[in-house]
Amino acid sequence: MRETRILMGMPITVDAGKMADGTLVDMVFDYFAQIDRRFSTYRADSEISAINRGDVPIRDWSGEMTEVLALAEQTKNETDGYFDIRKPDGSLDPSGIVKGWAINNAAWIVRVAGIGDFFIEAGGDIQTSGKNASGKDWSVGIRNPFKTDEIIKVVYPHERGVATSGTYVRGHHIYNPRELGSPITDIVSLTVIGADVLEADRFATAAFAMGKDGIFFLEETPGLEGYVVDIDGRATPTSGFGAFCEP
Amino acid sequence: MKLGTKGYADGAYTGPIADAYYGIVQIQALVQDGRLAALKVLQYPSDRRTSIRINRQALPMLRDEAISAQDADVDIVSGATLTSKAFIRSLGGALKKASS
Repeated sequence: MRETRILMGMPITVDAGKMADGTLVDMVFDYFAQIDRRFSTYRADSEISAINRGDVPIRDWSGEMTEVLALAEQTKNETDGYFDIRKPDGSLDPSGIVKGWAINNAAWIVRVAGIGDFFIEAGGDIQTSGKNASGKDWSVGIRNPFKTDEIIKVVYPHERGVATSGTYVRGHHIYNPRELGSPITDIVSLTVIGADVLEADRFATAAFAMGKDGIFFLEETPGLEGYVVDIDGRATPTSGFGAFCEP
Repeated sequence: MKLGTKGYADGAYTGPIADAYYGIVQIQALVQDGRLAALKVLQYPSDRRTSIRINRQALPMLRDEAISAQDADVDIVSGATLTSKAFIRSLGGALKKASS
């Protein structure tokens, strides 16, 4: 069965095939709701809001919070500071990493239940596994950043994760943390294929912030492939990206 | 989001060892002037490098292509989050800072 619900401020879709029952799908959505309660900066009663207010000593941080903040810090180090969850006002906003992390964990919930054919998609970031209902490889369309009802590329992730960062529709929404106040203008959409959706998500955010250098960062990083679209409607794939364009 | 007036006491605070499913993580927080100034990862299961040095000369030439509409018959669509209010607010804050 396939079901979409709005959670964490975005549509989340779970397709766990014919084998899955409603209980499993409910369990996955419950997991996302629980993550939202802990990590949402829009909820005054979330753990992250309490930490940002200075209400929680570090020894009392939950294991999940410690893990996500450590992952964010690790990603910052791996990307030379281009990935940064610290906002200009000094508070922490881990939403750039929580999505991929949560999808990845949700995928494990489905696998542990014995389901091998499924996908989970949240706000355009995707983890697939196995085959679709027709017994074929899952296909993922990359949305045209200039015309959002159009697909400009079809990829077959083959168990890997896919994430896209971009600026379209609502204007520039990713800024370069090393040059505050300078929105990224030369590239408009960057899709990353990584070992899993967590890898894809954190490096899509970081590589996008690098602007034109992002695709070269992906090219030289083992295990990552990318497809970038610039403001002039030209697309540049990494050299290994083509392997994912075949079923 | 505004930081509370209470804040933290200055100093270095080491967090508990957390068992993530792929290994052990532990972090240390440094607090200056009542605010979280830095996070330091004491333990993390990773062997990745810690800085990037992009040398385009050492990389293959990447060919670009014009984008064109494809058959839309796909299982799933990947695109940027359309509802990412946090980023918009971040940018708003950054721009405000830049213009003041």
